[in-house]
Amino acid sequence: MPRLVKTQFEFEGRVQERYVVVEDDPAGPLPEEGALRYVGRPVPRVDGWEKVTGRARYTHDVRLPGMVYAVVVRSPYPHARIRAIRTAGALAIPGVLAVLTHENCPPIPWGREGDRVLNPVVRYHGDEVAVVAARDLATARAAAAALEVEYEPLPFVVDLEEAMKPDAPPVRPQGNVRWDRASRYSRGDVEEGLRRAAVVVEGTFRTPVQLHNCMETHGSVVDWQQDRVTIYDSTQHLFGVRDRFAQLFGLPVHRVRVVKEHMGGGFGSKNGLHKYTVLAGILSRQLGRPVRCVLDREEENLAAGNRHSTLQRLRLGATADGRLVAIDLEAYAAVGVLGSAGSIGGPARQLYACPNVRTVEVPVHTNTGPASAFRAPGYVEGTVALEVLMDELAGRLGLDPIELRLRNYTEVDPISGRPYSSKGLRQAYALGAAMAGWDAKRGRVAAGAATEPDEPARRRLRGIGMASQIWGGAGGPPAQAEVRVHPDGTATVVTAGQDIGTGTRTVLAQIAAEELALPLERVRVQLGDTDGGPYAPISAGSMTVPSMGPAVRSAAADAVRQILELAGGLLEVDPRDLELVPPGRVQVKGAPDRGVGLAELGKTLGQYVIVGRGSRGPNPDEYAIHTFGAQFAEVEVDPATGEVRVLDLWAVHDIGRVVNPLTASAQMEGGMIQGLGFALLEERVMDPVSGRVLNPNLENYRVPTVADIPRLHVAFTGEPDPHGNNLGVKGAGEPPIIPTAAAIANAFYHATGIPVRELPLSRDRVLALLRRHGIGPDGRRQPSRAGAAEGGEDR
Amino acid sequence: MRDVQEPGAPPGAPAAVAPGAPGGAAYARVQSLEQALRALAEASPPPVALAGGTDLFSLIHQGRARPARLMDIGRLEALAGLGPDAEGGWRVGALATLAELARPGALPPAYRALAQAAAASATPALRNRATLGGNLEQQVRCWFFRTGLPCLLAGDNHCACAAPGTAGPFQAVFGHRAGEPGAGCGAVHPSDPAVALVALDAQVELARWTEGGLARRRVPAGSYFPGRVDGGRRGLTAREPGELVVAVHLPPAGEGAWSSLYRKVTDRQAWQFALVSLAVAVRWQEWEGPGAAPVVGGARLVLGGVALKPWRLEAVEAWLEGRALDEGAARRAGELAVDGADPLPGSRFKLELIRALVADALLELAAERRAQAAAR
Repeated sequence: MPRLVKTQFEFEGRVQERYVVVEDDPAGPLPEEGALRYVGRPVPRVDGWEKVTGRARYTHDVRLPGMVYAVVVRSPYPHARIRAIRTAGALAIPGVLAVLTHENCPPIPWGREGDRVLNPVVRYHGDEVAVVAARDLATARAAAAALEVEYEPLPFVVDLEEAMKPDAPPVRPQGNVRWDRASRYSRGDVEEGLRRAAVVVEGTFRTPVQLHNCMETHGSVVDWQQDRVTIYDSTQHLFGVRDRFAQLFGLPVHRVRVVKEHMGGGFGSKNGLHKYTVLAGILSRQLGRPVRCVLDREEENLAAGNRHSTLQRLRLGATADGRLVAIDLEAYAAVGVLGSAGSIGGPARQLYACPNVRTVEVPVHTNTGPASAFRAPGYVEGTVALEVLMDELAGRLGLDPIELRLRNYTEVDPISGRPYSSKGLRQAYALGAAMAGWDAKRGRVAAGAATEPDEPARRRLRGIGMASQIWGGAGGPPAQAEVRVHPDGTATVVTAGQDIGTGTRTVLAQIAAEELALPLERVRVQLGDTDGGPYAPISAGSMTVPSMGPAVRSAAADAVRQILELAGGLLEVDPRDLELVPPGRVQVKGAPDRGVGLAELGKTLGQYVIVGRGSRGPNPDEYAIHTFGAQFAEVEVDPATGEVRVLDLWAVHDIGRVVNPLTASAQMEGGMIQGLGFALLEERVMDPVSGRVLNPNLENYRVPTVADIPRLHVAFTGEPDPHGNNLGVKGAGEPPIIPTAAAIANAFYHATGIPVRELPLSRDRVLALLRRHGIGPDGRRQPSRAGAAEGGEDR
Repeated sequence: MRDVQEPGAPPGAPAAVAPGAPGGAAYARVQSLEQALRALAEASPPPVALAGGTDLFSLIHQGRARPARLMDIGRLEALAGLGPDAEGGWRVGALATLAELARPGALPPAYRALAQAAAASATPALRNRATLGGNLEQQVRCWFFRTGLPCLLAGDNHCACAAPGTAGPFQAVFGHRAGEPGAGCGAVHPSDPAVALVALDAQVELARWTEGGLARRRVPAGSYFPGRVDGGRRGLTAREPGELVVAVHLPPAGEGAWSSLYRKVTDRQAWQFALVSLAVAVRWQEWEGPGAAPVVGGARLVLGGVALKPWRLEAVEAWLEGRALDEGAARRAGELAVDGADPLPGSRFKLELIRALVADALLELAAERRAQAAAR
């Protein structure tokens, strides 16, 4: 019987208390690793063929009879009042069906700052001004171009630090620096810790705006019919879209259905309901036809979300033997016109045993597109500052960076005081160091040391660096699944969750096939439809596998319990004496010749479908559940051209039990590549004069190409988590992006002796840094400038 | 499919796009060079030539081009072909794709700089579509121009990129001062092959329709790119309205006396226009024997990504002539290459790239010469 309990729940660095429904879990302990057939095995994706043959249907591919195309008209100004919109010219174009502006749009509220979906004031380049619907895309675009909008440009600010100045133009009446929405945390006494510290290092760090650039741009098709609305949406949270849409339109949830079969990337930017879905909904209701609103690449980069830039002031205090006694972080995040600051202070609060910690994270408005979650929001940025400064602290103390980290290692969560359910970070350090050849490579001479006689005239500077990762990834309730065992001995896993491209279908099929003792090809996973199954949570916060996996396993175990009951009736044996063995056969324990196959059993059941139900239980209150990891980077810096070439990246992560090493490694590699882009290439560039985004495209917003990707090495510590859930799994989505940029920055520091304060490490920045620190084009310290780098501090 | 319509969009608005005909333009494929040139000369408004479309379609999408008619020249035999010409050099048809030029063995070794420049361009997919003729005629990649901000090249009276305090690192270091042809514009010519063609002393063959019939002329690559900002006409080349690029002619290579190469510096390893690029063609003097540095008989050095045209380093060329090319000479040549440079706030770092690129490329060629001589 379900019962209600209160539990703590951590999502992306923030802890909440919530009620959860708890059901009995019939799943027993998993067998030893050697006895597992699918869990832990490198199973290729079950939907691989659909994807490589182009049959997989993405939201972009949805075409419905009578479908109408909607195109959003966006502001070319960073801040303006709309004086007038003349729609006559657009409406006169044959095939144009509707134009929505702030004047005729239903007053649907948007965000927590009092905005509506369409507003008379636009606040960023790309802000929604109007939406046009027409019978085809070309006509809709022509109509969008024909719309006459009269703007009154208003003062604007697009840069984080400019926006923080007292006389900066206000983005909103509430002011730019939102102290009212700041997150503050404190333990111990930081000032006292700093006084006691033998060594204090500090730095001001700047990280850029990173754009998600999902391969499949954001978009929806909304089909509003008389009594129900079907939304095809490229989303990470089917139920989130359903509930919010229903709420905004005053509909009961049973009349709203959200569908998404396949998705080409989300990375946090597709966590909820977006404006284009609402606009398509209004138009579909008005026109009585399905409406498609899909962003193009430029719109994607202007208005679909971003990782906020940060300004971080960080101080670390340590004793002479390298024990942290103070961590003090003040972080500002440019959240754009709307949005929250990520947990920039998460690593500072959680990663090390330190009695005195203070963090404050302040959102700052700028006239730029709304910030959104981006794969480990805040943690990527915060890890750069913390781990870069840790290496400088190690340098000051004369300690190996790993040794410094081990001296501050903690077996209990420093925030709650609870022990970790499992922590493989120590193993990750050791394994990563062995894989990377850390000890030998750390010994190499850094820039500026005495010249060897045989050296080439120009010395490329090599260095190796590492950084640590902490993140949540416990997963948790609510998450529900069903397992239907059909009369022919096949099974369908049913849940209304989503596979956002990470391999969820494959992993859930493996888990069910394992529990049901069936061959994998006899298990199918059905998901991607809110009407198609029970609740599944958002695919974010690295929680899909640790939430859905255990629920599916419970559901399968419940089905097995029923199978054994029914087979007991057929075989006239006490079900407790029966076992289910591969390939789908029930037999008497100790008498394997007495048994019945599932298909044979099915024949006796008529058309009865065995339905197992399962739900994710709560996390244990007595443990803190986290993922951990360490990454290592070796780089080569060309002192003449400023090129930073990453030669190798090594990643070792503790994500608990690895259900599928193939999909898990793919996650690791993707995260490392995105982290490498953040470190070296990716940066949204704003023109401070016009307030426009200058690179809203894939040409000049540079994600790494295959040619930019170094050798990637992935390993897992692999120990199942003994306390978190019935599979021993933790999440894998976000951990791999968290330490990559910091590891690369530390390798740069090792190679050049120059501490990194700002990303990305583009050629112009690197050349300026090298020269400022007295390193010439030949890679040697220029005598006239010697000593310039000794201060070390770039404030 | 709906009727093709003439675009009525006001200036500054995004272009309308009709199915099958970008920008709502009328589309027609021409069957002969004569037909194409007659259309350019006589039709009103004159059509815009379409070959690979890799730049034209982007310009239409960005609202920077609004052709009423598109004339597809992609199948004109007269513009095709790649092979030796009657004068002992090579003729590259304007429709040769960058992928064809980049294919190993497609060009004789002396023209290696062109093959390398083609290979360094864009991405495989773009190289499969992009033609050499179109590549020479492409517009600047200036972020301001492409974002729709004011730009002299778009007919505005000033360039947004020149405003104090702007962002954007990809700006000129040469040729943009008052009194120079590119005055007031911070953009650079984007082509990789153009840089190689200037170094190789190639000629661009143009054709037009006159009363007497088809007329052809050849323009040396070095003067084909004037590097001039002229708001009245949008092209960056000497091509007159009514003319089409027919082919590019590479001069006879001689007895292996010339060798060339192309090097390109970018942030990303692929799919980026040059921060700085360099094409070098060098002719060596008689080999002095083991241990001696090879001596330059003549050299042509051309930079890309630094000016509104491929930027020839004539002073460096003169200085190199007759000089033994050792490490010191190469570094000195790198220093000389930035003489007279006038970087903008966003382009100062390019001076370092130029110095390194010139020195490294010369040393690479010298090492190759040594290796070849040793092998003989």
